[in-house]
Amino acid sequence: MRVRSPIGDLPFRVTGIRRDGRELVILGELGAWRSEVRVGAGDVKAVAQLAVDGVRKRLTR
Amino acid sequence: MAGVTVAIVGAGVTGLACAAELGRDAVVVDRIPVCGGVLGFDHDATRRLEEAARTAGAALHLGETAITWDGAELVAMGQDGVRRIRADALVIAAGARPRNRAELRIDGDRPHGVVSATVACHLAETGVVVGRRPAIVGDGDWARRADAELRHAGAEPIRVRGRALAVRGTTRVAELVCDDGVVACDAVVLAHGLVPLRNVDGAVVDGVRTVYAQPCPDRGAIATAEEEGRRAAGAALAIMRAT
Amino acid sequence: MRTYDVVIVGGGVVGCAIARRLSLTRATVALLEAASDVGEGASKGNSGIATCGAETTPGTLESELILASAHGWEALCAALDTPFERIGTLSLALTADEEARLPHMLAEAKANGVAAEIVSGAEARRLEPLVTPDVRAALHVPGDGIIDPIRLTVGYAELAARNGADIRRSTRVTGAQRDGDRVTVLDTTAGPVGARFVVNAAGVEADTVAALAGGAELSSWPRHGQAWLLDRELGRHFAKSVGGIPDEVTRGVYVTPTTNRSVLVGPTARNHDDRDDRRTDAETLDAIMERGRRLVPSIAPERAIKVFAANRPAGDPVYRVERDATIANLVHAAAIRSTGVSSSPAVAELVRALLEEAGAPVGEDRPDATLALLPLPRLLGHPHPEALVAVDPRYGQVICACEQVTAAEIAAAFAMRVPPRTLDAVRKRTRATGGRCQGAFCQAGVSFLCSAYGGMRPEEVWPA
Repeated sequence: MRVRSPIGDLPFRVTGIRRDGRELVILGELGAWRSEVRVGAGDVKAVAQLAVDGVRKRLTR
Repeated sequence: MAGVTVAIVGAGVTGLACAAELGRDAVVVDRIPVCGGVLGFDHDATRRLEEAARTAGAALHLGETAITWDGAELVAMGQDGVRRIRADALVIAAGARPRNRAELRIDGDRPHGVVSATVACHLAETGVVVGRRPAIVGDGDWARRADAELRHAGAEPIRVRGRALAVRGTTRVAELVCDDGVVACDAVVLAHGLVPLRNVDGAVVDGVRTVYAQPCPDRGAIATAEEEGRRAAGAALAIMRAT
Repeated sequence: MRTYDVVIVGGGVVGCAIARRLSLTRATVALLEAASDVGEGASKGNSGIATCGAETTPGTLESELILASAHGWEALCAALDTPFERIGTLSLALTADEEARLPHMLAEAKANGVAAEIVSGAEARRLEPLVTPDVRAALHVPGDGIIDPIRLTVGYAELAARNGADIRRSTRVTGAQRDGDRVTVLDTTAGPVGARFVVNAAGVEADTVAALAGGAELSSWPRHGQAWLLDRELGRHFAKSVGGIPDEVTRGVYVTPTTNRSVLVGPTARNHDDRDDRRTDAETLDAIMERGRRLVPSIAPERAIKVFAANRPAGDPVYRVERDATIANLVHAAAIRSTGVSSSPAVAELVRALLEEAGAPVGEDRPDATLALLPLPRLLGHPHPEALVAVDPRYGQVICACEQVTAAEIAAAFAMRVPPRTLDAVRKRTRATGGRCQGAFCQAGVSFLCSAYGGMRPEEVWPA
């Protein structure tokens, strides 16, 4: 994976995944920096909505 | 040489080439969490030199910012806190930056929006433009890169060929006065002339047991940077033999 | 519309000092500042010397207020987390004429009750090895100090806010409503503000505010000054602030370390009539550099980080700290010229007394008032960085490498009561982007943090 950041492009490498309560925690490395991405129910919903909107746009073109 | 350490600030082409030369004697730090400097982590030259450095046994501490050097210890700050690196010599391979406004002697008002090309590029890469009609001052790699990134992000940059003399505009940039005319613009991107980046206290000017390896090529010249890195390795060893 | 006991117009060092002082009392206080931050006018371009008053004309209000402020800097700056160092100044005589003026300067210092001495050229060079070998003699004033005028201004405002004062930025006064001889409401770009008492501390715009309030005419005009800032690598070698001998026209340039160890060379002083003109020009800058090099030969334009200009509020007479002649509830703190920093504590105290005399509820301090800000540790120059990181791992994230400003410090700035709303405001509080690369490598990161910590959208940070 690749992340565009204010200090340039950085590779994101997933090193693990765990659950923390109702959140999914994706453990990773942003280059040498330890990083984690926390995904909650609201985030999943938002991403799903974007995907649905995208599909809808294509179908109605 | 056995049992010596050379601390290298900068994991771009120059620093990696230096580290590859010194092998186990080298400890490299860079504030960015990946190698590559201005070329980026996935450039061929970066991959090749990073591999060479690691294979040769150099230690790489990426994402750590070197802050002070006292002739014997380099202090770096990172996600694991403070790293104190005992070293017999220091190589500054931290690259270069475009000249700032004071260095370019650009007179006039001081509105927001007069920025280094480095800033304009980093922001444009994340979709933020410093202005809709930015004037780019300078004519080298940074100027070309800023032009391309700003266009890609939806701005309409103007390349300034003459010498920039003064900025006009109180809260926002309104125009740039150049020696060949006045350019209407809403931002000014400084991409002219490169000066070495120096931010390790104790090694800003004439550091003790310090080698400066900052070739500042304004156009490409990866080969120059590599060569400079190797030269710096030799110079560092010479310092250590002399003391 | 909210009504305050006292509304202060102007968020420079003087206005903020008054806000802090009044915030210790039971009065409700608001400060209105037209710009997006406090300290955007003359205070931002201040040379950072807290003079102890050697050179003021004895017996004037300016002299009295500076002298009254001089002894308290250590304690006040400790309370406001503001850097201050009482390093002393050396005024160098390079010619026979200048040397002949020294006894008069010494006498003036003595008349002001300020400790000063004339030293030989050799002694001057011993006190400050960087001065020119051509120095014949010098006036040494050990009580002068260097201070961060911006941290002082922000510190005053922050403490005022902690004590409940409403610091309203981006609020320009556009008019006033009166009832007889009292102002009742100030109209502003952000709506009306009710006021039982008004303080005019509007700096270069003090005459405008006086006119809007219907007060007596204030004669004031902008006095333009340009200066260089040179690398911290030069500044760390300085022991003293160095100046020349003033003549009839001007005090002359200083070559002084700042509290962040950059070197300020300047300022000039030119009366003009465009209060928004903050232009720099090569001719003036070159002249400043030439004068500076005569005092300290090792400075050079190649070491420049930045040049800037600011307008000081000159006036005739200067130091109008008094009740208005016609408007009963208006107090002026205007025409403070270039010594606003140096006199701010005493000006604030005098304004409080004048307001009390006018009937404002500022006579008694609250026993529960907050008197000090918690000092924020900074990485630059810190003797034990391990201790910092143990307290907050964000001290390990250096954002601005030139000034060694960490994410912890930037986050702390956004947690203030008077937080930054622009990149420059971040620089004023933390030094980030203020170093030799002028943000070339951190401005993008800092603006990202403005979004992350400050909730500002990128388009607000970079309006395009």
